[in-house]
Amino acid sequence: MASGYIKVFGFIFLVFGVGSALFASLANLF
Amino acid sequence: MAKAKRYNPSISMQRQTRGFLLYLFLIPLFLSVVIALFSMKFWAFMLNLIAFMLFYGVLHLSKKGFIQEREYREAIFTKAPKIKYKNIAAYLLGIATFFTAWMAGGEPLLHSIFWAVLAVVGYWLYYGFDPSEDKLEDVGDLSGEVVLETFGEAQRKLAQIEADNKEIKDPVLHAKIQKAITKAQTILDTIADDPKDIRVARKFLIVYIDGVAKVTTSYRALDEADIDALTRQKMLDLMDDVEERFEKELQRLKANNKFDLDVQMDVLKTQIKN
Repeated sequence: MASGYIKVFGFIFLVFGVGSALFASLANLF
Repeated sequence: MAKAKRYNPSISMQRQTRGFLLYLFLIPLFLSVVIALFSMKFWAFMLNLIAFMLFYGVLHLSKKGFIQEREYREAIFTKAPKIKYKNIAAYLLGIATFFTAWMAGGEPLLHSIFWAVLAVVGYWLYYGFDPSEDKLEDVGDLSGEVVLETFGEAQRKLAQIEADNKEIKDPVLHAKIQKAITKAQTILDTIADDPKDIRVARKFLIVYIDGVAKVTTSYRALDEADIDALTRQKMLDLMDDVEERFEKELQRLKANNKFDLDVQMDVLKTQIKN
């Protein structure tokens, strides 16, 4: 059970962290 | 029986989908590179290209780490991987995220650091760490390291015998050697299932397989046309003896396992009676 929560947290952190950086670089082009 | 593997569909599913997210991360960067190129922003093009390569490196290292982890999980006894690919990939992801946000994205330093840390922690939580413990049990007076080495050596020798046998044209001898190889492989599988057996079968692993490997290598070195009937007959007789010996070895292993069962049953019986 706990490992499921950890994975979901990990997924959110990963997508938010990397996604923000990727979005920033894309937005910087316009 | 020893070759039968437990049905485990989750591993094969993981094989295909693991690292999917890392592929997705490449898409926006790919777009950034293309857009920067077409809008003639050369500096942005360079930065985004570097960012793309960094993320590609993360993907590559992660894939290596996943393969390594799978092999570790499937092996019965093995050492922990020396190069921790997943860990390196996690740090590289931090660098890649920081670079993309700060250099390519022009975001404030603190924001960029925050996202990079978040990405690294997220990677650890989502993909986990590399295996760090050796999967080695000490077997009686033998250390796990020795067990692994002995077993690996035996397997290498067996592979060598198999390679030698491919070159042997004499069909009768070829078949006999093949039979011995099959039997030896069964013994190795039995030992892999229960490493305690290594104590019983040490002579087989170290002496017999090595002896057979030496004989087949020497035989192969000769031109088969030059081998006289007497030598051939001696070789055939020897392989018969080898096969018989291997069969005895297998029976001994089985008897040993039965002995373990008998002991455990006796122990339980005594416990129940008291």
